[in-house]
Amino acid sequence: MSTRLLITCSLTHYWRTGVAVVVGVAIACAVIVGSLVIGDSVRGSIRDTALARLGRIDYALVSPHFFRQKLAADMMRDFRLAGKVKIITPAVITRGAVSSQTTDATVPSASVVGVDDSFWGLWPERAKLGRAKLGTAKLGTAKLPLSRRQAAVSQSLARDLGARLGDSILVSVDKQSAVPGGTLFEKRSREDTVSSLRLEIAAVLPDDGPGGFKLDTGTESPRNVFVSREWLCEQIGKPEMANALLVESSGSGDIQAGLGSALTGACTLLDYDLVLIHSSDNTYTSLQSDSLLLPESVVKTALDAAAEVHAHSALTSVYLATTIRKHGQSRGIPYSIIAAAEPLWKHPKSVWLNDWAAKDLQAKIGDRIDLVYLVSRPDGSYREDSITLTFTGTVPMTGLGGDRSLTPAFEGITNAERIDQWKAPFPVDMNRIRPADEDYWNRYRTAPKAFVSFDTARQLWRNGSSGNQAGDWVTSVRMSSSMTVAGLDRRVGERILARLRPEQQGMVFRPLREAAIAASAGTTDFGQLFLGMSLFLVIAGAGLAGTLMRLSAERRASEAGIMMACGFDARGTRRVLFGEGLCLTVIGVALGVPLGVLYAAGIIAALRSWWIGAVGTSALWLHLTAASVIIGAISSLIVGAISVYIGVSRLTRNRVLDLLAGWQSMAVLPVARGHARTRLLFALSLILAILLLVLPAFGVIQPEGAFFGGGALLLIAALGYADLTLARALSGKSGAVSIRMLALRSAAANRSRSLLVIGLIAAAGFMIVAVAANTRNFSRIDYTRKDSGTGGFALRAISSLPIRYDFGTPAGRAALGFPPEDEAIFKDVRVYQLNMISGDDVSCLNLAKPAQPRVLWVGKDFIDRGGFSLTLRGPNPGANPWTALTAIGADSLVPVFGDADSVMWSLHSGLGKTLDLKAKDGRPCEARIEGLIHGSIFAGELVGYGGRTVGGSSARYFLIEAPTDKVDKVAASLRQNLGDVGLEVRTTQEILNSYASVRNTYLSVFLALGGLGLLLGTFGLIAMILRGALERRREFALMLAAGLTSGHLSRLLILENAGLLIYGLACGTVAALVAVAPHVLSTQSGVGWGMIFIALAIIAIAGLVSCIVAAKHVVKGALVEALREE
Amino acid sequence: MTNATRDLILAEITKQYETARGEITVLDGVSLTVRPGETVAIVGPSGSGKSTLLNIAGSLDKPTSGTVRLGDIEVNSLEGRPLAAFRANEVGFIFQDHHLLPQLTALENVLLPTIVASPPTPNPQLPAPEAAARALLDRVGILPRAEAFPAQMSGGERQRVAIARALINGAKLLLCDEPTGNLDRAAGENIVSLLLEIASEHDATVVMVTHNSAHAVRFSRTLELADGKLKP
Repeated sequence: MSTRLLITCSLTHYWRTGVAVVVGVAIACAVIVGSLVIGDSVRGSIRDTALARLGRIDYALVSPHFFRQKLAADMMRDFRLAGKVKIITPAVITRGAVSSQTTDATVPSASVVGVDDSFWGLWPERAKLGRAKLGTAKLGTAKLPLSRRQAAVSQSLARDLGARLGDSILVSVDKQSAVPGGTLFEKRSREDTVSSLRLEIAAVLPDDGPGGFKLDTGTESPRNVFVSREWLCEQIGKPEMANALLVESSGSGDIQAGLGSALTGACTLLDYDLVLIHSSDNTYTSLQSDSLLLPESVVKTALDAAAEVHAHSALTSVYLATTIRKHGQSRGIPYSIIAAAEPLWKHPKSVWLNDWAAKDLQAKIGDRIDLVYLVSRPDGSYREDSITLTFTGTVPMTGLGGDRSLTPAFEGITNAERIDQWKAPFPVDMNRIRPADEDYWNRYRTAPKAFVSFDTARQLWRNGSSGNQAGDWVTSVRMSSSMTVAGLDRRVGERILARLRPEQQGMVFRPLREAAIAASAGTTDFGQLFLGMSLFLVIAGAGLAGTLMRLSAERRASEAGIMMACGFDARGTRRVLFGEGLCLTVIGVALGVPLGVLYAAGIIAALRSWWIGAVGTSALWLHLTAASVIIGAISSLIVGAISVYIGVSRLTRNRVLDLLAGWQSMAVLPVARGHARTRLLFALSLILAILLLVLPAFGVIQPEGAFFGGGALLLIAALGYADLTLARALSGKSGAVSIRMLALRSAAANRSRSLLVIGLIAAAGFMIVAVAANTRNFSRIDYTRKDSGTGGFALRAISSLPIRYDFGTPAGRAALGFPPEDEAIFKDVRVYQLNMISGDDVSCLNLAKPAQPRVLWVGKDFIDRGGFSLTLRGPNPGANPWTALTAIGADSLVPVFGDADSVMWSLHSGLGKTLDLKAKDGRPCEARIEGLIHGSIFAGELVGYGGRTVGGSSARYFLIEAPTDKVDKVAASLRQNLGDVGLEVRTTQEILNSYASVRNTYLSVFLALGGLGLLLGTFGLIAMILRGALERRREFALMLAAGLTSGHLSRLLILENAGLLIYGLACGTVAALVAVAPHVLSTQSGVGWGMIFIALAIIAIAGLVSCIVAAKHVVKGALVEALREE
Repeated sequence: MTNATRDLILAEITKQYETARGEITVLDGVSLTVRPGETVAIVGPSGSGKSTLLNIAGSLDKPTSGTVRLGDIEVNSLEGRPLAAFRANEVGFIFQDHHLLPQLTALENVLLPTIVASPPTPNPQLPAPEAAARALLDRVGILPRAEAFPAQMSGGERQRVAIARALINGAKLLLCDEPTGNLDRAAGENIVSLLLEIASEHDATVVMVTHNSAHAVRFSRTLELADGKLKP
């Protein structure tokens, strides 16, 4: 005989109990392993999806401006990339709106991707076919590559449109004007700014293949339309251009640096949106840009380059005057170019006229001259302004006065044969054009008629524009030297290129694969999350194993007594029993690991279907890693071993004689103990609870925390009260005997067990009510309240394409083509324009880790308006907390606000923390979180102050105040009139609900897993009842002998256990309701009372049913035999 | 029911158990008639079936064959409520291990059978159950311990409580299964004396199973159970 043999024999003999212990351990293990595997799976799926969306693309460059398509081929010739890069393919990536001609469905926010044939080589063949099948369209790439007017659409887009292969779709894309928005020269009309492309769907591409192509790391499936790049470029007026380069690498080493060097080496001036133009008389060369204005950094580079080659350089700025007239006169010269050009720039109040203009105006030196010009307004209208200067001198037509090269090319104007053929973006009154003007145009074209100082030019560009944020004003840099113009071109061009850095112009290669892998870490560790949410299950499984082990051990108390009587010491006896338990634990873990994988597979399947709201993507697959399985198994082994140890350890502390007498003798003796301690605990927790509930009324502490603490203390007080009541029940002064009294006495006699049941049920009830009270439904929120999560806004609109008129004004709506009858709808409607800098969604809707948060820059009007519920880092600067955004401190950190939940859970940041953002002009800036917005529509982005120039044609984000009865009509009108430019309009309630649905889904998951744990706990309750009943079999037999029926016994057991259950549930519920009261009362959203009621009802019914079943089972046995068991 | 009709009659009682080694016959056609007020001691070796016979007599167990009658009542055909009522009103059990409910005081343990036997409307002619219980406790000599829990009492005290409980509903048949088995000699003597005195006072029939021949001789009749048969 050996210990091992003893254990083996015991395991064989008591196999039924063993099976139950194994089940408990297996459940705990399955949940632990499963939770870790879920974490792996979410991470792995995000990574796989992100990588599948990239195909073989390793690096990408997306430029803010267009460059030559040949740049890709030029880079490939660079020796630094030899052996490191396989393909560099040019592409055009832009946004657009797509509508189906067949189903009339519109997707306002789609990515339009112009690709070359080589793009398709970046995906393996099987990826193009995808794993999934689409209901409405067959997947396939038979028609790739794409010919003109053919489109390949992503699976998600096809689904949203309800489109099939061969269907016709209409795609609206921006024509990508380089001219800065908000300036006089910005093209605004729809025909000038939007290309409508009618395309046929030639292929539907899988979302987990090229269909899901996207360069950011968000987890949302993109809505992609792929077209031929060459054709797209033609359609948007950028022939043979591209704005993106996609790279497949083939080697190792610092490829990113190599790409950067090769890019720098391969870029020409055109790739920086620059060009050197010879003057018409070949006397100088002029650096110009398609965007009309040269950035300050480029101007400086050009001046330095010119100096380096010993060339003379001069700045030029041109603008358009609608009228040049003598002061006080109504008539003058219409539509004239005015210029600021060296050397005529030193006198701010002076104007020089060329000979033709001076003669036309019959101006004399010293006359005051009005320059009337147009000012572009955000709503798309123009107003006239003027500046009055002193006529200082004339400029001969042979020099600057007749130099048409001073004016950069501007399509529609500079290439027009006659003035009346101008296609100007601003209004031109052709009636004002005189024959003399046409004659001038014929002879001198764009030669400026008036010359002003640089200060005046700056003033004109600044006053005349609503969107020229950088303050740029130079339209060309003229350079001349003793060299030939061609020679100067070459030399100065080289010098400029040597000084320009692609990254300064926003041309940077990003390592996509690295970013995708980094982002796949996710905002949340789903492993930990699910472990947390399944904690009830783990505790229930381990508790079940421990309880059963203890039950088994106690049933065999006499064996322990025999062993100890035979010379085993307590340790040795425990070792045998523990050895048995450990064997069972190992078997449980061995079963639990595969069960855990099944559990994870089930949860993943649920996350892809019922609980898709939690993750927002169905692209989740099971991923197993050895580490998780091993860690899970070891953790389970430890948990199981601890449970078993606790189960058996108490047994061997008893006296040998007690053990020999068997388990029957170990029934709890009803002795009231611990009164004083319990009274103290009860009194203290009650007093503290009352204090915590009262103090917030005096503003001493925050109500949320105080009430939660108060609720928890009330729960402790209720448990204390239960303990005192049970102890009092043993006072022995009752007199009458009844079933009810017997039930109370029985509960009191097993006080620790009764308190355990009450405590467990109360804790479960508390958790479930507290959790369920957090579910939200914003459908009935009073969205007009400014302090609500909507901020008082009824609608939010985001446009894919720039909307170049303010649809918040009658003039803007008229310019955008709204019908006049819609004006009534927009009465009392106010639109706030915000500048949105694209970036990663920081809300819970994005599973991936946000690398570059999306930012909204608000204007002064928004700051003054205020609204939302905010917590500031520092003291409130005034009545309006939004003014905190306008104060930049000495440390130059830009203050931003963020949604409280997003900042905490997605950004893992907090008040006062700093982070890197993109400023309103797209340049990097360092920001500090100055305030947290609670439960708002800004969950997906951070909010900063963009100054007075926010809005205008660069605004793509709109918040709309509308009277309640007009909300639907306003939304319908906006969709009707701006749907084709990709305006997506949603009610703020919908947005809050979309965020709430994630939270609600998590809560549902928590409740479901908690419910499973509770179910398991119910089994534990049944086990406890059975165990108690087994202990009390003789007691029941005696009652039967005394004439009680089995019905009496059932009633006794049910009363006893159901009483504990109901009391526990009532304690938990009331305490939880107190705990969440301020939260529930303060929120304007609906609380899921139905869910709370259902959850409580399920607990109560499950508990009662288990009590009844267990009671019936216990009294069914041949109890009388128990009397013979001496 | 008159005394003549309250005979306890066991006729041809057989009790067999199925075991792994086959069927075992514990009682083999046992017949016994006990007259009202008679005190009968049943002795026999361990495992001879004494307790089984007593349990069958008191309706706690059913015979494989044979009948048990108490007066007009065919005991072994009772089921459900009539069976419970029979146990509550007609029989009082006293066990070796005294079988008290640990969560009830001595007084409450005595009152336990009144849960089912209390009349729906109290009879003013009869003492209230609590008064009756206290009187019985007083009679068995432990009234001062009425509020004590079993854990706070000695074995003899517990057995006295069991005797009081057996009599609370006025049972006229006391079935005692080695009530002195766990007591020392003096306490055992006292309990037997008390039992016989009280039985006499209450005009109750007593059937007691015992190993102790000294106790057995104090009963009006002694029978021996051996090999499944009851012999005088």
